[in-house]
Amino acid sequence: MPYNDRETLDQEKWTLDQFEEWQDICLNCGACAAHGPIIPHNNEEIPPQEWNSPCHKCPSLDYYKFKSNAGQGRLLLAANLFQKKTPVTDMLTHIMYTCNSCGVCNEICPAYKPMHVILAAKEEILKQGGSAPEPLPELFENMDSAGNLFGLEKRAKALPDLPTEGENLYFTGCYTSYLLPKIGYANAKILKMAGLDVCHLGAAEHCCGEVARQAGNTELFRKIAEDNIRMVEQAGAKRVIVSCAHCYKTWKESYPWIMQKELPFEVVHITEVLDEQIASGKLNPQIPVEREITFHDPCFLRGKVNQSPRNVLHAIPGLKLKEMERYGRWSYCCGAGAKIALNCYPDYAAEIGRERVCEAKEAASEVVTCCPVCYNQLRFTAKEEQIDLDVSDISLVLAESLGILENLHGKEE
Amino acid sequence: MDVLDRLQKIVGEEHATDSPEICKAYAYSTSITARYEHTPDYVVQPQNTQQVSEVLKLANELHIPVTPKGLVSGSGYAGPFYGGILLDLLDMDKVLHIDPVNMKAVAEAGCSFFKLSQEIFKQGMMLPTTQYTCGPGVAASYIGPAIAFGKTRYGRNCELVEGAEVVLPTGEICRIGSLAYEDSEFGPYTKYIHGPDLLGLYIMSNGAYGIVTKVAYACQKCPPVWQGASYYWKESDIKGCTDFMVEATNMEVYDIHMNDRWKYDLMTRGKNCEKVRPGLLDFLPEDAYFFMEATLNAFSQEEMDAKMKQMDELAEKYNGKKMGNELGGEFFSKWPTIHSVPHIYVNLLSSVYEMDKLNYQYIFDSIVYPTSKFDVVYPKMKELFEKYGFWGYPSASIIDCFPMKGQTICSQTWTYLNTRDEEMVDRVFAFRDEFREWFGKVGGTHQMHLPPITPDYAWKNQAEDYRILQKIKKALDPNNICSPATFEMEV
Repeated sequence: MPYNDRETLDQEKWTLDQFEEWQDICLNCGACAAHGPIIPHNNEEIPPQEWNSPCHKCPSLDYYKFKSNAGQGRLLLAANLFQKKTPVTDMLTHIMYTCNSCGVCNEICPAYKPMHVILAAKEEILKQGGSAPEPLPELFENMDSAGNLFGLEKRAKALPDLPTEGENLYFTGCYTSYLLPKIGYANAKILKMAGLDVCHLGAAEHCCGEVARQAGNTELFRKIAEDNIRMVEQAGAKRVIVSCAHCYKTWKESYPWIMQKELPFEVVHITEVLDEQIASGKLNPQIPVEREITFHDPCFLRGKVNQSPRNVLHAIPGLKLKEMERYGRWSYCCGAGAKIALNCYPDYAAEIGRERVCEAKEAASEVVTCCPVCYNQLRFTAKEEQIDLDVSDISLVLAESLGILENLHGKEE
Repeated sequence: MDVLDRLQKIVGEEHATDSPEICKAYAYSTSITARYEHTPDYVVQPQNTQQVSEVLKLANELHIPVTPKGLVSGSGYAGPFYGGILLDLLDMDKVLHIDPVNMKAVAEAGCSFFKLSQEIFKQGMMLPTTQYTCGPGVAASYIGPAIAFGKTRYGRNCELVEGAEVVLPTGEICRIGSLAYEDSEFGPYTKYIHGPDLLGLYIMSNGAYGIVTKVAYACQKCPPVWQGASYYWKESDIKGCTDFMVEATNMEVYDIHMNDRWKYDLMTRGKNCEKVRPGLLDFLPEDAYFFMEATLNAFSQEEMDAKMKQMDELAEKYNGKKMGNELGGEFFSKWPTIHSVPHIYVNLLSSVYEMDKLNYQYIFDSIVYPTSKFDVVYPKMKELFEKYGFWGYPSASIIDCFPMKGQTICSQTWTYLNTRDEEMVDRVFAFRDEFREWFGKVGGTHQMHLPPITPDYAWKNQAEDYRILQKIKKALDPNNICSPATFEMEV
């Protein structure tokens, strides 16, 4: 079966020409714009009797207030844009780029999958001669020339002591490599401790290109994807392990999309590997971590990797997990918003971050997550807002229970 | 100070806009979106009743049209036909009062029917009618012809309304029905207070007599036992199917719902059908044409068994055949929390792009006629669907029927339509016109007042009634600012 048969409702596989040709205005039922509980338009599940969903789901709608900033409004503006009935304006660009890509609208409406329509609308804006909001052009340049989002010197800062070839390739990602190396070192140590044949691209590792994909810069994204896929193939890896939710979504969904074919290797999030290694007894967290924590599900793991991190946390003796009101499939964005909100609309990112940090603080005094972008955003927001909330990464908590955290001193960011 | 400045002064800068892009996002509804596009000049989000009042005073001063809007599924009616101010009421969504002893609930206008229902469930009660997914807002359910499951026993959503808070077009705030007693020690407890029932003036009024900001609903105790059963009839047995609906509506049945074969058959045709709905064809008998889904509730299993036996016997009496649980069982297994059929509904949506470049569109809604005349109306509708090329694949028009208390039936029709194909859209309109001409002549009714969606026959058939509605409109809204298209037809 072809990756994209072009005639079924798999918008996540559609290319821009398909959206231009097929996308119409939705039924306007309003579920994605509703304040209040909804039932997902899902043809595969029947909600339980005690069904509920949070009242506030879409961060962009919460902040910008109008329906134009919910899936419904964006979808109908996108349909107009594709049909050339609406011109590209600054406001239209603002409406589309303030989508956090958190995917909660896709969760509500798998029929129309608004988030994928919005991604295509961003592509269309650039195709019709519009400009991506500042400072995205600079970030594009950084990714293209420096190989990382920050435009820093090419040699990655965190270089875990791993070979360059192996069955499992650990892809660190920009945030871990340049801002949070301790997480990268912890992951490398844990994977080795589990006895996995794991490798790393070292200084040759390049940015995954997620921001280019989320911003609609298809040309740049294709170039990055082709380079990265080739590197993995050269390393002989059968599996790419990522510890960043943004890298995960990019490798797992966006690379097959841009290539319009399945990848020749598997892509997994590190919590899936940790869960698997703990279940098989190859990792045995024994040192009690006597703390009550809450867990923040990264948006880019929504609906795909929600249980594995919880299994890992439950396996750590002494650790008590208390959920926030919005968790799992209904998790709320940390504010980073595919790093576009963070870079282009900092006030918006800060307010969404503040809301999430407050929600976490209500549940526990420490929040654990499994994405360095969320980690950084939550930590930064808590500090800025002077909210007494500890922020941790799941690998660091596991390393603590495995007794290898102390060895990581000196690997601080 | 210009209009926007004054609106922003009332509701706050972030809650009022004249951005063309944002206004465009409020221009559509469910009904044939290609043709019914009406863009407001301003979108305003009031946070409370006082702000609604201030907005109406301003609109009156400047003679600007005001149209209220909720979640947008309003079948075309919530469109701001003359632009002006669109009141987005979704921020007014609080559940204000739940009284499990007197079985009452009060909520703000923009609270969804589903949200209110979920809160009521927690107290062991239910709103007797239950909605699809989030459903309309509680006020939209009152000022529009919203219909839901449970209507066979309890009627339309608006029939459950016992009180309302209304902002008159002049900006005066007025509490009517049970909410007139909202601040008393006894609270809101009866619809029928001293004097005539003013609540009826706002039922299906489309906001023309003012903006409803708060609604009090009558609730019911939620029975613990729920069960569904599906029956089918051959196409040639339409008389038996009709007689069954008439007689079943007289019984204590929570809901019966009739669909023709297309609703299920459609799902068996798409390229993705085996994934979406595996094995559906295996349990759809070839001669099954009219499907009746009955929902029963009871306070004990014994009561349920007796009701189910009665229902089975009634279906048998009129040649209906009972189906297994393949459709009915899943359909109702989580009732009433599931609020109807999102999974089946989405099966249909999932087929949208499998058929052609077609989108699923309302053709009619809320046409109402005596249940006993189903065997007259259905064949006529089918005849015209065939004449205009919308019967069978790929249009797969669906005739969806809601038998209600009072022996009336409400039918909605849907079809797959390429809204970019002008010729196809023209054909739909020609079909509608011809059907309406016939339907008006035989005395069919249409329950929403808003041209050009409302057909001419609605006014012609009830001219005296309509003229009184116009006089009341003039008295309450001398500048005709509230949903101004609603009563503008000349009869």
